[in-house]
Amino acid sequence: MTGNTLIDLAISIGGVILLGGLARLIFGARSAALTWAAAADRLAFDEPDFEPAEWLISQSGAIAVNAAGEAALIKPLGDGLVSRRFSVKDLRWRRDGLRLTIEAPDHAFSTLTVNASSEDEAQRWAARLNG
Amino acid sequence: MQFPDIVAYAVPAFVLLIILEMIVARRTGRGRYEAKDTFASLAMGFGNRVAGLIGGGLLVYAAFTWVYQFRLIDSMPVVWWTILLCFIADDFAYYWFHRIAHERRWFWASHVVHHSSQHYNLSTALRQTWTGKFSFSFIFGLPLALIGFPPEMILFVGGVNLVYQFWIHTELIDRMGPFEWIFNTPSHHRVHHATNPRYLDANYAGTLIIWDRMFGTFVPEDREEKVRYGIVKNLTTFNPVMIAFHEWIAIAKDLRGARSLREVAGYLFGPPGWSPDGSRLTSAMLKERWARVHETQKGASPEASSGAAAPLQPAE
Repeated sequence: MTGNTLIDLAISIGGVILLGGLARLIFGARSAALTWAAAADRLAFDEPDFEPAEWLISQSGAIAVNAAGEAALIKPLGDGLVSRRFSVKDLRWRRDGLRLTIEAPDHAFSTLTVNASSEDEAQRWAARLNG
Repeated sequence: MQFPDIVAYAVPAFVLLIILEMIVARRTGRGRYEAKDTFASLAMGFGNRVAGLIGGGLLVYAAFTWVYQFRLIDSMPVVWWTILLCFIADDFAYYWFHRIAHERRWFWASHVVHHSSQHYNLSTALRQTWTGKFSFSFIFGLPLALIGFPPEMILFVGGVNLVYQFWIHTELIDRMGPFEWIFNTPSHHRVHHATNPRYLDANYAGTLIIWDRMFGTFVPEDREEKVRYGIVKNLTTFNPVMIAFHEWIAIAKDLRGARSLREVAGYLFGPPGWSPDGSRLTSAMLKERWARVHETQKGASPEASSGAAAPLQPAE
């Protein structure tokens, strides 16, 4: 690499920082609000034949299950939401009090954390995830 | 004849247009930027440039030069009309590269990067692969060298094509009338970046949309249907390294579990979403599912469709 190339790359890095910073300045740091409506909307688009029987929704993530033993996991990314669909038996999970941490068998989705609102709800969802 | 590095010359214009788009998008509410997404897209563009410098560019040039020694037309004049012919031939080759990059997982593994943002703005245009040159995506341009177009000319018109494609990554420009009959436009390319099932695998054009019209892959934008950008399984990270390599990692994992040569071939060169047992969904399967659910919902009463089943159309 020549000196000019290195200068060129340094200017490019400056451009990345400038434009990223401007986007932050102009549009702010928006995070998606994980509401039922937003989660249902995302799921309906990604998995239109998934009929949720029950939902557990918190700001960090959401999970829905259907009658076929499948789970839809939904989590926020920036100002959008991302969903995946798995068989419940393929999920690994653990419970810490009200918090359920679910590991999906998809390296591009990884871990989902969902917070239950009560001990009863956490127990009920733990039972659901046990199949 | 010396051909300029047109992409390098265009970079200042890219920067200014991105700033302009941010301001207009903020003021009008049409189009949006998300800071982390923008950083990720620009980092991918930067990485693409680095990949070219550390050997990708040399590999492409060497391949074109090697093929060029077997050229069919020995002394192609370097004049405006051969450059125009080269541009059209390159755009045709680009159509096929792009189509196959969506239809075959080996090439999709690199190209998926460009589609991995849920946003559609000028920064998305710069969200480029790091692995494309190393996975031989340039082979689609080799026939041009075999015909007799000089490698420098092919690389130049390829650069022109790339620069053309920058401005079509925007939600700010609506339909463009008769211009859309021949040229690729923001409207056509929004369809290409959409994940709405009816839009999947459409509008592969670089500059000329005529190739899509000729080969049956053209789909016009429908104002009634809100476009959802991204990929059918969106990423949950803005990490550029993960964006660059996630599909290659997925391929490696699949190959580790492959039980036959058929499965190896399917995982490498089948359509994205291919699996031996059909448990994953390809674009064709997604379209079939969408049609099936769409028909069911059209036939259902309003009471039935507002019950447990989630609505098909996104809520506004």
